This record gives sequence, structure tokens and C-alpha cells, in this order.
Amino acid sequence: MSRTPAREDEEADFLAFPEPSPTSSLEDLSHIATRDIDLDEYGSPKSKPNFVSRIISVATNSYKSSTTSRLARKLFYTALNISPRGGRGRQQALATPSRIPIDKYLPVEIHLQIFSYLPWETLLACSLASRIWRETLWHHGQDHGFIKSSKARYTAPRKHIGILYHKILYHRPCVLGISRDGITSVHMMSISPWEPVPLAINKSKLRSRKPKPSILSPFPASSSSSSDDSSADVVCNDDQAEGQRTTVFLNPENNFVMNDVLLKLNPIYTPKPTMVARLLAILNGLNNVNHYTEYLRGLDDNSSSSSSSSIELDIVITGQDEQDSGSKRIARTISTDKEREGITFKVFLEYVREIVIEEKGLEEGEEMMIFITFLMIKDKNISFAVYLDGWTG
Amino acid sequence: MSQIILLSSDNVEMKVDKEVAERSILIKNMLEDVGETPDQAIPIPNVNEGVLRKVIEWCEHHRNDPPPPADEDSDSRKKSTDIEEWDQKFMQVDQEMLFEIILAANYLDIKPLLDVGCKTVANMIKGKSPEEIRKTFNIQNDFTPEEEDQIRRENEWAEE
Repeated sequence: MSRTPAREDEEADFLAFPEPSPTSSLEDLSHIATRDIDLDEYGSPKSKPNFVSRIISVATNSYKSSTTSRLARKLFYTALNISPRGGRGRQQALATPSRIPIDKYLPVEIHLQIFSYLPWETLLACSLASRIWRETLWHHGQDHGFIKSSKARYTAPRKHIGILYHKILYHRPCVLGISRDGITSVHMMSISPWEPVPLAINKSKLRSRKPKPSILSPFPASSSSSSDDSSADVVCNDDQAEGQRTTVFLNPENNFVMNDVLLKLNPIYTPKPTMVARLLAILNGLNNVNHYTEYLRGLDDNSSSSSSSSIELDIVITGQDEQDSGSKRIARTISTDKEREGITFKVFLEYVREIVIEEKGLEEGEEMMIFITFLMIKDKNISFAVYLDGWTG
Repeated sequence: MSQIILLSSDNVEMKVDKEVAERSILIKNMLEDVGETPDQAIPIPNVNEGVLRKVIEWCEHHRNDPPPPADEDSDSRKKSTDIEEWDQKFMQVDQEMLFEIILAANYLDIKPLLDVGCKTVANMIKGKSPEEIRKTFNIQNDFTPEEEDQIRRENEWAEE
């Protein structure tokens, strides 16, 4: 590479700063590392014995003048860099707070790539540091769910509102407050039984194993009364006698058909390696009913019949559906409470050891995300979904 | 070896080996579209001289690197932030230059350089508190006190 026009005053032992580039010592490439500020006028460490003091003197004077403070900073680092402890100069250069706010300077796609290298703890800190970052993380830090085929045949990505598989929420059990436009609150659960449970869902079994019928006990409609008592719009927890119970009320404040969603999660169970380790509640925007033909079946665990080793999941959704919702239900334990002019869902996941999902057209070798969709309101393009983590199993 | 001329946003021409310049997918595609090595300078309007020199320096050093896999696994959770020693030294610049290199790499479509830049920033963020992040990157705290309070409550679990 050659430079046009070439700088006539370049020296072989020129000083590049604030840091010498890795190749600056190579004579034939020395011009590459030349910075936009030329220090030749100050001499070089070899030619001028008092080079450092001269630079510091100039830097000090420059620093007093705000217009040249950037030059001053570079001069300081230059002096530091050629000092016996020059390594500190390099560290300082990186640690120097930028005058450019990173969150407004770089585009979103760059932020996302940077975030992709960070663990969730740091991502959380980022979301608290900047409003732009927070919005970026919440709205873009999600992976779209899709079915991946070994034959490179992809179904259409499932559009959704909210977080499906969020990097911040990764491997954290959580419940989300969700409105139609996005997430309104996040409550990370610190329920100890959830934490140590490894994901051990075997994808090959998920594909090949024949589900047993009636593992999820159908619920009589009358038994759902425990969950139909509220229209609150807050997230709350209350410890009840039988153990910790997390209740989340999702109450979108819009004309959305779903007036109240009550999700009760009662994780009173003896954790098993194969039990689900995470529960995400997602409000989904769906465009194609036929696309969601998953069925939920549990596989009986003969080793335990204790009711304490179960996950109780109550979902109550009330609201108005303009059409008969019967044909739109896809979960087996859904019941309709027409007296309340709404729909009541009650799902018990008892002894869930594995989740079996059937997808029309799914073939051997295909991978798919494990998730369950409980509610489908076709006309409103809205679904409420509960996702069970199996993606990384 | 054929050379091409790049023209920075501040109108400085730089001759580079075609092979080096083609580390940029943007330039590579453009040269392929043109068909012949152009005699005229290729304008790089978004990149100034200083940044372009740094980018070319990186491309020179990595000219023989194998191309990145086309269908890279996007499971970013498993991404490593390890950076080669040379690249670490290369990225030891002030933040302004670092951001400019990232932007230039993004614009010129030099994915490995973009990766290195983003990893460098990620390493600067890693392990810091929100306040430290703000301080490091000159981020203005634009949350209202009410929002801060709400955020704090939502994330109390993380402070336990």
C-alpha cells in the first residue's frame, strides 16, 4: 500500500499515539499508523533526550486550552507510553471516558452485536444504564422462534410481542408483565427449586416418543374458581400456606380482547432433572392459526404420584371473543366459561417429565423449540403462550 | 499484484493491494460488479483518512486469514470475547477511534473486524455496574427518578 500524497516528514522511528499500532515498528508499514495529529515537531525519544518533558509541557499548556484538550490527552498518553511503565498509558487510553455517548453514537445493530457477547448479568446492567439500551435490549434482545429443519426448510418466523427467548432472561425463571405493546414488568423468580434444575429434555425423545394419553388431567370447569377472582393490573407475590405462590396479573390497558390474564404459578414440587427449568409467559402476536398445531402431553412418571411433585399452572383469561372459541383451542385442558362471557383455561402440568410436541410436517432430524400455546384468538391475532424451556436441552 | 485506490471522506487517496481491499465485502462485491480493476479512486465516503488507515492496517495483517464461515452459528450466548493478541493491541485506541473503526467495519462489511471491535467494547462493559458503564461511555442517565425506582424494584432480585 502506498499513500498519496506521501508525507515528507515521516520518520522511521516516528511516534504513533495515543498507542503505537502493532505494526508501527515495521518500517515499510510505518505510514499506516500515522495518526491525524502529527508530533514530529516535538521530536522523538531518540533524537530529543528531553522529549517526554517537552511533550508533557506542551500537553499541560494544551490542556489549559479546552480547544486542544484532545491533543493534550494524546500527548499525555504518548508520554506515558514511552515511559518505563508505558503499559499504563494503553490501559488509560481504553479506560478514558468517551466524549461520545456510545448509546447514541452507534446504531442499534452494533449495540446488539456488542450485547451478544455479554452475559445476562451485564446485559441487565446495560439495560439500567441507558434508556436507549434498555429499549434496545427489551425489544431486540429476543430470538424469534422458528422450527429449524435439517433440510434447510424453515417455517415462517413466529411474530410475537414480548420476549420469547431473551438473552437477559436466559436461564432465569421469570414472569413478565406484558401489554400488547411490550413488556411492562419483569419479575425474576428466585425460587430455589428452579435454580439447580438442569435442562435434560432429550430432543430425540421429543421427536420419537409416542405420547401417552390423558397425562394432563382434564379439568372440570368448576375447579377453576381459584383463579377467577381478580382483574388487578399489578405484579404481586403472596406466600400461601402450601408454599410460595407467584401470581401475576397481566392486564393490558387497551381495547385488547383479553381483559384479564391471571397466571398462577405454584412451583411446589420435588425438582426432577427432567422437569422444566424455566417458565416464560409470552403474549404472542400470531398471524396464522394453522401454524400452531402443537399439542401438549405429559408423560407419566411412575416413580412418583405425590401431588407435591407437580407444577400447577393456572391461567385464567377473561374477555370477549367474537366467535366461538371452541375450534380455536389447541391445548387439551382448556375449558370455556361462557357464563362469564370469557374463556377460562386451566392447565395442570402434573408429573411433567417431558414435553412432547407434534408439529405437522416435522420430520426426523428436525429441531424445534419446545413451547406450548394455550390460547388462540384468531380474529385478534393474539395468543397467550407459556413457554417451557427445552431449547437448550 | 494489482492495486486499487481508495478515497477517504477527507479526499486522501490510498493505494492498497486488491487482495487487502477485498477483505471488505462491500469493496469486493463492488469490484466484482465492475469486472475490472478500476483506475479511478473508489470513494469511501463514510470513513476518514485516519480510520481508513487503521482499517487497512487490520486488513493488511489479516490478508491471509480464511474467510469467515457463511452460516455461522448465531447462538450468541456461547460467543467468546477472546481477542487475538495482535487485535487487542490494534484496538488499543481511544474510544472515539474505536467506535469509528466499528462503524467503518460495519459500513465496509468486514465482519471479523466488526467482531473484534464489538468484543473490545463488550470487554469494556463486562462486569461493570450501570453507573460505571455510564461513566465509561459518557452515557447520560436519562431515566426519571420514578423510572429508576421502578427499575430498581423490578430488578431487586439481581442485587440479592
